[in-house]
Amino acid sequence: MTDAAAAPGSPGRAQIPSVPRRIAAGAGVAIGVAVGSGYIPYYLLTHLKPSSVGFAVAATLPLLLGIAIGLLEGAATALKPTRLYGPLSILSGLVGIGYLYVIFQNSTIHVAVSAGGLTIGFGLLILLLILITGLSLIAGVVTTAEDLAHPGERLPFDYPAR
Amino acid sequence: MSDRISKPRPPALYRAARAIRWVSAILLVLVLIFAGVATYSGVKFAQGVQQGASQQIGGFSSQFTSHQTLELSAHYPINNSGLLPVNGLSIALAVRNSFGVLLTQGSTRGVQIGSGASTAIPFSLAVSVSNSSPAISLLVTDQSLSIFIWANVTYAYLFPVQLSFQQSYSWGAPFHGLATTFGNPFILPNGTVGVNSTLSFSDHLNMTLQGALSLHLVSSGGSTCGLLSYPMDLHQGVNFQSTQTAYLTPGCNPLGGTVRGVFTGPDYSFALPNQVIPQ
Repeated sequence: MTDAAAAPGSPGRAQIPSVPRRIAAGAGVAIGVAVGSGYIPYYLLTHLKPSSVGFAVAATLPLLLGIAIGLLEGAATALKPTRLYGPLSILSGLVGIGYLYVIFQNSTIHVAVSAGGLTIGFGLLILLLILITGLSLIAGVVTTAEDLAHPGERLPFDYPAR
Repeated sequence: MSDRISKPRPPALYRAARAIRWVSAILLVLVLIFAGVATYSGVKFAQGVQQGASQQIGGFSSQFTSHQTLELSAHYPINNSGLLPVNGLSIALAVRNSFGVLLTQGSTRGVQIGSGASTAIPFSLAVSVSNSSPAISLLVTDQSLSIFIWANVTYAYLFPVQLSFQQSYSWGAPFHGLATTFGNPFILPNGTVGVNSTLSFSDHLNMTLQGALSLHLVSSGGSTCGLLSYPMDLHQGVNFQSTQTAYLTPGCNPLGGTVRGVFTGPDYSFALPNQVIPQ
Protein backbone atom coordinates (compact mmCIF):
# COMPACT_ATOMS: atom_id res chain seq x y z
CA MET A 1 0.00 0.00 0.00
CA THR A 2 2.94 2.31 0.62
CA ASP A 3 3.91 4.33 -2.42
CA ALA A 4 7.50 4.65 -1.38
CA ALA A 5 8.86 5.22 -4.83
CA ALA A 6 8.59 8.46 -6.67
CA ALA A 7 5.86 8.75 -9.22
CA PRO A 8 6.88 9.09 -12.87
CA GLY A 9 7.73 12.67 -13.69
CA SER A 10 8.11 13.67 -10.03
CA PRO A 11 11.17 15.70 -9.00
CA GLY A 12 12.94 13.02 -7.04
CA ARG A 13 12.73 10.16 -4.67
CA ALA A 14 10.83 10.48 -1.41
CA GLN A 15 12.61 9.87 1.85
CA ILE A 16 9.87 8.19 3.81
CA PRO A 17 10.49 7.73 7.54
CA SER A 18 10.70 4.22 8.88
CA VAL A 19 7.59 2.47 10.11
CA PRO A 20 8.61 2.71 13.79
CA ARG A 21 9.19 6.45 13.44
CA ARG A 22 5.83 6.90 11.74
CA ILE A 23 4.14 4.83 14.44
CA ALA A 24 5.85 6.95 17.08
CA ALA A 25 4.71 10.14 15.34
CA GLY A 26 1.19 8.75 14.96
CA ALA A 27 1.11 7.79 18.63
CA GLY A 28 2.19 11.28 19.58
CA VAL A 29 -0.52 12.84 17.45
CA ALA A 30 -3.10 10.36 18.76
CA ILE A 31 -2.25 11.11 22.37
CA GLY A 32 -2.20 14.87 21.80
CA VAL A 33 -5.54 14.96 19.99
CA ALA A 34 -7.16 12.51 22.42
CA VAL A 35 -6.03 14.59 25.38
CA GLY A 36 -7.03 17.89 23.77
CA SER A 37 -10.40 16.87 22.41
CA GLY A 38 -11.26 14.01 24.77
CA TYR A 39 -9.62 14.07 28.16
CA ILE A 40 -9.60 17.82 28.79
CA PRO A 41 -13.36 18.21 28.03
CA TYR A 42 -14.00 15.07 30.14
CA TYR A 43 -11.94 16.49 33.02
CA LEU A 44 -13.70 19.85 32.84
CA LEU A 45 -17.16 18.28 32.67
CA THR A 46 -16.57 15.88 35.56
CA HIS A 47 -15.21 18.70 37.69
CA LEU A 48 -17.95 21.14 36.74
CA LYS A 49 -20.87 18.72 37.20
CA PRO A 50 -20.78 18.62 41.01
CA SER A 51 -20.58 22.40 41.20
CA SER A 52 -23.26 24.83 40.19
CA VAL A 53 -22.42 24.59 36.49
CA GLY A 54 -24.78 22.62 34.30
CA PHE A 55 -23.98 21.25 30.81
CA ALA A 56 -26.34 18.85 29.08
CA VAL A 57 -23.77 16.39 27.73
CA ALA A 58 -22.52 13.27 29.51
CA ALA A 59 -18.82 13.60 30.30
CA THR A 60 -17.98 10.24 28.75
CA LEU A 61 -19.25 11.26 25.30
CA PRO A 62 -16.50 13.82 24.58
CA LEU A 63 -13.98 11.39 26.06
CA LEU A 64 -14.97 8.55 23.72
CA LEU A 65 -15.31 10.75 20.65
CA GLY A 66 -12.05 12.52 21.47
CA ILE A 67 -10.24 9.18 21.74
CA ALA A 68 -11.80 8.09 18.43
CA ILE A 69 -10.64 11.28 16.71
CA GLY A 70 -7.20 10.87 18.28
CA LEU A 71 -6.90 7.30 17.00
CA LEU A 72 -7.98 8.32 13.50
CA GLU A 73 -5.60 11.29 13.42
CA GLY A 74 -2.80 9.10 14.76
CA ALA A 75 -3.50 6.44 12.16
CA ALA A 76 -3.64 9.07 9.41
CA THR A 77 -0.26 10.45 10.53
CA ALA A 78 1.33 7.01 10.65
CA LEU A 79 -0.16 6.09 7.28
CA LYS A 80 0.52 9.42 5.61
CA PRO A 81 2.71 7.88 2.87
CA THR A 82 -0.10 5.51 1.89
CA ARG A 83 -3.37 5.95 0.04
CA LEU A 84 -5.19 5.50 3.33
CA TYR A 85 -4.12 8.95 4.46
CA GLY A 86 -6.86 10.79 2.56
CA PRO A 87 -9.75 8.50 3.60
CA LEU A 88 -8.54 8.50 7.22
CA SER A 89 -8.44 12.30 7.16
CA ILE A 90 -11.99 12.35 5.79
CA LEU A 91 -13.17 9.90 8.45
CA SER A 92 -11.44 11.89 11.18
CA GLY A 93 -13.10 15.07 9.88
CA LEU A 94 -16.51 13.41 9.84
CA VAL A 95 -16.15 12.14 13.40
CA GLY A 96 -14.88 15.56 14.44
CA ILE A 97 -17.87 17.28 12.87
CA GLY A 98 -20.19 14.78 14.58
CA TYR A 99 -18.47 15.43 17.88
CA LEU A 100 -18.78 19.18 17.44
CA TYR A 101 -22.40 18.85 16.32
CA VAL A 102 -23.28 17.04 19.56
CA ILE A 103 -21.61 19.86 21.49
CA PHE A 104 -23.34 22.47 19.30
CA GLN A 105 -26.76 21.04 20.11
CA ASN A 106 -26.01 21.53 23.78
CA SER A 107 -23.94 24.68 23.47
CA THR A 108 -25.31 26.37 26.53
CA ILE A 109 -23.86 26.39 30.02
CA HIS A 110 -25.97 27.24 33.04
CA VAL A 111 -24.26 28.59 36.12
CA ALA A 112 -26.24 28.98 39.31
CA VAL A 113 -25.48 32.23 41.05
CA SER A 114 -27.05 33.50 44.23
CA ALA A 115 -30.77 34.11 43.70
CA GLY A 116 -30.51 33.52 39.98
CA GLY A 117 -28.53 32.04 37.17
CA LEU A 118 -26.04 32.76 34.41
CA THR A 119 -26.52 31.24 30.96
CA ILE A 120 -23.68 31.30 28.46
CA GLY A 121 -24.07 30.23 24.85
CA PHE A 122 -21.07 29.22 22.77
CA GLY A 123 -22.80 27.94 19.64
CA LEU A 124 -21.02 30.42 17.34
CA LEU A 125 -17.64 29.22 18.54
CA ILE A 126 -18.63 25.61 17.84
CA LEU A 127 -19.88 26.61 14.38
CA LEU A 128 -16.47 28.14 13.67
CA LEU A 129 -14.79 24.93 14.78
CA ILE A 130 -17.15 22.90 12.57
CA LEU A 131 -16.18 25.12 9.65
CA ILE A 132 -12.49 24.58 10.36
CA THR A 133 -12.98 20.82 10.67
CA GLY A 134 -14.90 20.94 7.40
CA LEU A 135 -11.83 22.51 5.77
CA SER A 136 -9.68 19.64 7.03
CA LEU A 137 -12.21 17.22 5.62
CA ILE A 138 -12.07 18.96 2.24
CA ALA A 139 -8.28 18.71 2.34
CA GLY A 140 -8.68 14.97 2.94
CA VAL A 141 -10.99 14.72 -0.07
CA VAL A 142 -8.48 16.56 -2.26
CA THR A 143 -5.64 14.30 -1.08
CA THR A 144 -7.78 11.21 -1.72
CA ALA A 145 -8.53 12.45 -5.23
CA GLU A 146 -4.83 13.15 -5.82
CA ASP A 147 -3.83 9.69 -4.57
CA LEU A 148 -6.42 8.08 -6.83
CA ALA A 149 -5.44 10.08 -9.90
CA HIS A 150 -1.67 10.13 -9.39
CA PRO A 151 -0.55 7.59 -6.81
CA GLY A 152 2.65 8.59 -5.06
CA GLU A 153 2.72 12.03 -6.65
CA ARG A 154 2.72 13.88 -3.35
CA LEU A 155 5.35 11.77 -1.59
CA PRO A 156 8.48 13.62 -2.79
CA PHE A 157 6.88 16.83 -1.53
CA ASP A 158 5.67 15.38 1.75
CA TYR A 159 9.00 13.62 2.38
CA PRO A 160 11.65 15.39 0.30
CA ALA A 161 15.02 13.66 0.13
CA ARG A 162 17.74 15.58 1.94
CA MET B 1 25.11 29.47 -15.98
CA SER B 2 23.57 29.04 -12.60
CA ASP B 3 24.41 25.92 -10.61
CA ARG B 4 21.33 26.39 -8.53
CA ILE B 5 18.73 23.70 -9.09
CA SER B 6 15.26 25.15 -9.10
CA LYS B 7 12.80 23.43 -6.79
CA PRO B 8 10.04 21.68 -8.74
CA ARG B 9 6.59 23.08 -8.25
CA PRO B 10 4.20 20.71 -6.44
CA PRO B 11 1.16 19.51 -8.39
CA ALA B 12 -2.05 21.55 -8.23
CA LEU B 13 -4.00 19.06 -6.12
CA TYR B 14 -1.15 18.82 -3.63
CA ARG B 15 -0.93 22.59 -3.40
CA ALA B 16 -4.68 22.87 -2.95
CA ALA B 17 -4.74 20.29 -0.14
CA ARG B 18 -1.75 21.90 1.53
CA ALA B 19 -3.27 25.38 1.30
CA ILE B 20 -6.55 24.18 2.79
CA ARG B 21 -4.70 22.44 5.64
CA TRP B 22 -2.67 25.59 6.33
CA VAL B 23 -5.77 27.79 6.36
CA SER B 24 -7.51 25.28 8.61
CA ALA B 25 -4.57 25.10 11.02
CA ILE B 26 -4.14 28.88 11.18
CA LEU B 27 -7.87 29.40 11.76
CA LEU B 28 -7.87 26.72 14.45
CA VAL B 29 -4.98 28.36 16.28
CA LEU B 30 -6.61 31.79 16.03
CA VAL B 31 -9.99 30.50 17.23
CA LEU B 32 -8.42 28.59 20.10
CA ILE B 33 -6.38 31.62 21.19
CA PHE B 34 -9.48 33.80 20.99
CA ALA B 35 -11.56 31.23 22.87
CA GLY B 36 -8.89 31.04 25.57
CA VAL B 37 -8.75 34.81 25.97
CA ALA B 38 -12.56 35.03 25.93
CA THR B 39 -12.89 32.27 28.53
CA TYR B 40 -10.38 33.91 30.85
CA SER B 41 -11.98 37.27 30.30
CA GLY B 42 -15.47 35.82 30.75
CA VAL B 43 -14.50 34.19 34.03
CA LYS B 44 -13.19 37.56 35.27
CA PHE B 45 -16.43 39.21 34.15
CA ALA B 46 -18.55 36.52 35.82
CA GLN B 47 -16.52 36.81 39.02
CA GLY B 48 -17.13 40.54 39.00
CA VAL B 49 -20.85 39.94 38.54
CA GLN B 50 -21.00 37.27 41.22
CA GLN B 51 -18.86 38.93 43.84
CA GLY B 52 -19.33 42.60 43.16
CA ALA B 53 -22.27 44.88 43.40
CA SER B 54 -23.64 43.83 40.03
CA GLN B 55 -26.29 41.66 41.58
CA GLN B 56 -27.90 44.45 43.48
CA ILE B 57 -30.13 47.10 42.08
CA GLY B 58 -29.62 50.26 44.03
CA GLY B 59 -30.56 53.91 44.27
CA PHE B 60 -34.28 53.30 44.47
CA SER B 61 -36.56 56.29 44.29
CA SER B 62 -40.22 56.72 43.49
CA GLN B 63 -42.44 59.54 42.39
CA PHE B 64 -45.92 60.11 41.09
CA THR B 65 -45.60 61.34 37.56
CA SER B 66 -49.08 61.80 36.20
CA HIS B 67 -52.63 60.66 36.69
CA GLN B 68 -52.58 57.44 38.72
CA THR B 69 -49.07 56.57 37.69
CA LEU B 70 -46.14 55.86 39.96
CA GLU B 71 -42.63 55.76 38.62
CA LEU B 72 -40.01 53.54 40.24
CA SER B 73 -36.43 54.47 39.41
CA ALA B 74 -33.18 52.76 40.27
CA HIS B 75 -29.93 51.81 38.67
CA TYR B 76 -28.12 48.56 38.00
CA PRO B 77 -24.36 48.78 38.56
CA ILE B 78 -22.25 46.48 36.44
CA ASN B 79 -18.53 46.05 36.25
CA ASN B 80 -16.67 44.52 33.32
CA SER B 81 -13.36 43.37 34.75
CA GLY B 82 -12.72 41.17 31.71
CA LEU B 83 -10.37 41.82 28.83
CA LEU B 84 -13.04 42.04 26.13
CA PRO B 85 -15.95 44.46 25.71
CA VAL B 86 -19.51 43.76 26.62
CA ASN B 87 -21.82 44.59 23.72
CA GLY B 88 -25.51 45.35 23.67
CA LEU B 89 -26.20 44.88 27.35
CA SER B 90 -29.93 45.14 27.85
CA ILE B 91 -31.86 44.56 31.03
CA ALA B 92 -35.44 43.43 31.43
CA LEU B 93 -37.19 43.81 34.75
CA ALA B 94 -40.45 42.62 36.23
CA VAL B 95 -41.86 43.63 39.60
CA ARG B 96 -44.22 41.27 41.40
CA ASN B 97 -45.94 41.65 44.72
CA SER B 98 -45.75 39.10 47.53
CA PHE B 99 -48.58 37.11 45.90
CA GLY B 100 -46.61 36.85 42.68
CA VAL B 101 -48.89 39.23 40.80
CA LEU B 102 -47.10 41.18 38.08
CA LEU B 103 -47.22 44.89 38.86
CA THR B 104 -45.03 46.26 36.11
CA GLN B 105 -42.27 45.34 33.72
CA GLY B 106 -39.87 47.13 31.46
CA SER B 107 -36.47 47.03 29.84
CA THR B 108 -33.46 49.16 29.14
CA ARG B 109 -31.78 49.72 25.81
CA GLY B 110 -28.52 48.01 24.94
CA VAL B 111 -25.36 49.65 26.21
CA GLN B 112 -21.72 48.85 25.67
CA ILE B 113 -19.21 48.48 28.49
CA GLY B 114 -15.57 48.57 27.56
CA SER B 115 -12.91 46.37 29.06
CA GLY B 116 -12.21 47.30 32.66
CA ALA B 117 -15.04 49.80 32.77
CA SER B 118 -17.96 49.93 35.14
CA THR B 119 -21.23 51.70 34.76
CA ALA B 120 -24.62 52.07 36.36
CA ILE B 121 -27.52 51.48 34.01
CA PRO B 122 -30.49 53.61 35.01
CA PHE B 123 -34.04 52.43 34.53
CA SER B 124 -37.50 53.56 35.49
CA LEU B 125 -40.70 51.59 35.59
CA ALA B 126 -44.17 53.10 35.36
CA VAL B 127 -46.65 51.48 37.68
CA SER B 128 -50.34 52.10 37.22
CA VAL B 129 -52.05 52.58 40.58
CA SER B 130 -55.56 52.92 39.21
CA ASN B 131 -58.49 51.26 40.99
CA SER B 132 -58.44 48.34 38.57
CA SER B 133 -54.71 47.75 38.96
CA PRO B 134 -53.32 45.19 41.42
CA ALA B 135 -50.68 47.79 42.23
CA ILE B 136 -53.19 50.00 44.01
CA SER B 137 -52.31 48.22 47.23
CA LEU B 138 -48.90 49.90 46.98
CA LEU B 139 -50.62 53.08 48.12
CA VAL B 140 -51.91 51.75 51.41
CA THR B 141 -49.89 48.64 52.34
CA ASP B 142 -46.21 48.15 53.04
CA GLN B 143 -45.07 45.04 51.24
CA SER B 144 -42.12 43.12 50.02
CA LEU B 145 -41.76 43.33 46.26
CA SER B 146 -39.80 40.88 44.17
CA ILE B 147 -37.79 42.36 41.34
CA PHE B 148 -36.80 39.89 38.65
CA ILE B 149 -33.89 40.96 36.49
CA TRP B 150 -32.71 39.48 33.23
CA ALA B 151 -29.54 40.93 31.76
CA ASN B 152 -28.78 39.95 28.16
CA VAL B 153 -25.42 40.62 26.65
CA THR B 154 -23.14 39.48 23.87
CA TYR B 155 -19.72 38.86 25.33
CA ALA B 156 -16.59 38.91 23.20
CA TYR B 157 -18.71 39.13 20.01
CA LEU B 158 -19.39 35.37 20.08
CA PHE B 159 -20.95 34.45 23.39
CA PRO B 160 -24.54 35.37 24.25
CA VAL B 161 -24.85 35.57 28.02
CA GLN B 162 -28.00 35.87 30.09
CA LEU B 163 -27.85 36.69 33.76
CA SER B 164 -31.03 36.38 35.78
CA PHE B 165 -31.59 36.99 39.42
CA GLN B 166 -34.20 38.09 41.87
CA GLN B 167 -34.05 40.83 44.42
CA SER B 168 -36.42 41.77 47.20
CA TYR B 169 -37.40 45.35 47.82
CA SER B 170 -39.27 46.61 50.85
CA TRP B 171 -41.94 48.97 49.66
CA GLY B 172 -43.13 51.68 52.02
CA ALA B 173 -46.66 52.81 51.25
CA PRO B 174 -47.46 56.53 51.36
CA PHE B 175 -50.80 55.87 53.10
CA HIS B 176 -49.92 52.74 55.05
CA GLY B 177 -52.77 51.56 57.26
CA LEU B 178 -55.20 54.10 55.79
CA ALA B 179 -58.38 54.09 57.89
CA THR B 180 -61.35 56.40 58.19
CA THR B 181 -63.44 56.02 61.31
CA PHE B 182 -66.73 57.75 62.03
CA GLY B 183 -68.29 58.99 65.22
CA ASN B 184 -72.00 59.10 65.96
CA PRO B 185 -73.97 61.40 63.67
CA PHE B 186 -75.34 64.57 65.18
CA ILE B 187 -77.97 67.05 64.04
CA LEU B 188 -77.26 70.75 63.84
CA PRO B 189 -80.00 73.33 64.74
CA ASN B 190 -80.62 73.94 61.05
CA GLY B 191 -81.37 70.25 60.56
CA THR B 192 -78.09 69.36 58.83
CA VAL B 193 -76.65 66.01 59.86
CA GLY B 194 -72.97 66.02 60.70
CA VAL B 195 -70.55 63.22 61.46
CA ASN B 196 -67.02 63.41 62.76
CA SER B 197 -64.57 61.35 60.77
CA THR B 198 -60.99 60.59 61.72
CA LEU B 199 -58.44 59.83 59.05
CA SER B 200 -55.25 58.06 60.04
CA PHE B 201 -52.28 56.51 58.25
CA SER B 202 -48.47 56.45 58.24
CA ASP B 203 -46.41 57.75 55.38
CA HIS B 204 -43.62 55.28 54.63
CA LEU B 205 -42.84 56.43 51.11
CA ASN B 206 -39.41 57.96 50.54
CA MET B 207 -40.77 61.08 48.88
CA THR B 208 -42.58 64.23 49.93
CA LEU B 209 -46.29 64.36 49.24
CA GLN B 210 -47.76 67.82 49.03
CA GLY B 211 -51.34 68.37 48.06
CA ALA B 212 -54.79 67.58 49.36
CA LEU B 213 -56.63 64.38 50.09
CA SER B 214 -60.34 64.61 49.47
CA LEU B 215 -62.64 61.91 50.80
CA HIS B 216 -66.06 61.39 49.24
CA LEU B 217 -68.64 59.65 51.41
CA VAL B 218 -70.65 57.70 48.86
CA SER B 219 -73.91 55.91 49.68
CA SER B 220 -74.48 52.32 48.63
CA GLY B 221 -76.61 53.74 45.83
CA GLY B 222 -73.71 55.76 44.48
CA SER B 223 -74.75 59.24 45.64
CA THR B 224 -72.17 61.48 47.27
CA CYS B 225 -73.38 62.23 50.80
CA GLY B 226 -70.49 64.34 52.02
CA LEU B 227 -66.99 65.56 51.31
CA LEU B 228 -63.90 65.91 53.47
CA SER B 229 -60.66 67.57 52.42
CA TYR B 230 -57.31 67.27 54.17
CA PRO B 231 -54.42 69.49 53.10
CA MET B 232 -51.19 67.53 53.37
CA ASP B 233 -47.46 68.06 53.47
CA LEU B 234 -46.19 64.58 54.17
CA HIS B 235 -42.70 63.25 54.65
CA GLN B 236 -41.47 59.76 55.19
CA GLY B 237 -42.18 58.59 58.73
CA VAL B 238 -45.09 60.94 59.43
CA ASN B 239 -47.99 59.42 61.35
CA PHE B 240 -50.99 61.34 60.15
CA GLN B 241 -54.20 61.63 62.16
CA SER B 242 -56.84 64.28 61.69
CA THR B 243 -60.51 64.62 62.53
CA GLN B 244 -62.98 66.63 60.49
CA THR B 245 -66.71 66.94 60.37
CA ALA B 246 -68.58 65.87 57.30
CA TYR B 247 -71.95 67.49 56.67
CA LEU B 248 -74.24 65.08 54.92
CA THR B 249 -76.56 65.84 52.05
CA PRO B 250 -80.15 65.70 53.30
CA GLY B 251 -81.69 62.30 52.74
CA CYS B 252 -78.37 60.66 51.87
CA ASN B 253 -77.22 57.81 54.09
CA PRO B 254 -73.55 56.84 53.75
CA LEU B 255 -73.81 53.80 56.03
CA GLY B 256 -72.99 50.68 54.05
CA GLY B 257 -71.45 52.86 51.37
CA THR B 258 -67.81 53.65 50.68
CA VAL B 259 -65.21 56.27 51.32
CA ARG B 260 -63.50 57.20 48.07
CA GLY B 261 -60.27 59.10 48.48
CA VAL B 262 -58.44 61.11 45.85
CA PHE B 263 -55.06 62.67 46.45
CA THR B 264 -54.25 65.65 44.27
CA GLY B 265 -50.69 66.88 44.09
CA PRO B 266 -49.06 69.70 42.09
CA ASP B 267 -49.06 67.81 38.80
CA TYR B 268 -50.49 64.43 39.56
CA SER B 269 -53.44 62.75 41.24
CA PHE B 270 -54.40 59.27 42.22
CA ALA B 271 -57.32 57.51 43.82
CA LEU B 272 -56.94 55.49 46.98
CA PRO B 273 -58.61 52.11 47.46
CA ASN B 274 -62.25 52.41 48.51
CA GLN B 275 -63.03 51.89 52.19
CA VAL B 276 -66.30 50.38 53.26
CA ILE B 277 -68.40 52.37 55.72
CA PRO B 278 -69.87 49.88 58.18
CA GLN B 279 -73.65 49.74 58.53
